[in-house]
Amino acid sequence: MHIPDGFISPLTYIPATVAAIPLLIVAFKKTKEAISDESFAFLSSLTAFSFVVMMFNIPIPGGTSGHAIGAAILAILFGPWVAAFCISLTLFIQAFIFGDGGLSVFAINSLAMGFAASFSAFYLHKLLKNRVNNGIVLFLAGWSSIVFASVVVAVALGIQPLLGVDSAGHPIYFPFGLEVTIPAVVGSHMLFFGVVEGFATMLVMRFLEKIMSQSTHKEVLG
Amino acid sequence: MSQTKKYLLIFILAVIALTPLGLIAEGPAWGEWSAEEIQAMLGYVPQSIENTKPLIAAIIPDYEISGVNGIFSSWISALLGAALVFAVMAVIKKSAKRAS
Repeated sequence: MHIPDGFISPLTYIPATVAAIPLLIVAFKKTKEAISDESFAFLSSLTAFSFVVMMFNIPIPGGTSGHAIGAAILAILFGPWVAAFCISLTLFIQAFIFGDGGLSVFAINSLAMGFAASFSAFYLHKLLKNRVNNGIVLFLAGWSSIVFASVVVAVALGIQPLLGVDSAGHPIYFPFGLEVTIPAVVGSHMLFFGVVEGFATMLVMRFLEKIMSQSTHKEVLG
Repeated sequence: MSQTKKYLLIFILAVIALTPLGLIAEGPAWGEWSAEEIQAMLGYVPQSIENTKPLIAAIIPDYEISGVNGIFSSWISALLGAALVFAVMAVIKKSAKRAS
């Protein structure tokens, strides 16, 4: 889901960058407030988890692949702003060091996998928790996080044929329109990667709850 | 090291150890095609995709270190990425402490 350089018109990535900068500033400030000696280990580990989990490319029918993000876990534990910052940090390292996702389109990737994913997971979790079985809530938070991210990516890619055509009539930027990108990108995330993200969110949250309850136990017991 | 931190460290190292599994997928993510793949698909390459070079060349493009076996490349990349995350977070924690 990491859009590379060259796929997106400046008419898209410049406004996206202008929109993302103030959001990233707020997200950075909230992260600074949230980070403490106690939260540091969790925040860093889960951000590192997000980096690493994106390396697990899962093949799907049709010859393509995709991966989970890990945003929902951070959003549920630390709130959507902190999660969006942590994922954006991951995306920046991926773009800068590993060429995964273009630096020119960093803002779009950050708005998709950072902000859209974190905010959708956070609010869905808030809306459903204590109303529905906890496992199902966690699954849905994970599922929706990546599906919302995929909508941003599908729209960013799908509007490109409208933004530039060369003299031969060929698109200058990403060549497929929304009628192709929405089913291909959003569809595959609803059917496959959303399910992976849902289960990953459930499993990791279960694990974290277990180690957190043990640590408080220890503290209580002295 | 507290018990919780130890579990977190084991968790992240275990996930890093499994990263070579990500190499099983041969196809790229939908849309993230190379110019050659687009050429094969459409018979042409859109101008901007053909001509745009990255602003800054990646140090380890695609998590592949040239001359290093794919499995080791992914381990090194994952360890480096995770280490960078911890380093940046440590700097933020330090600056937050100084500010307060």
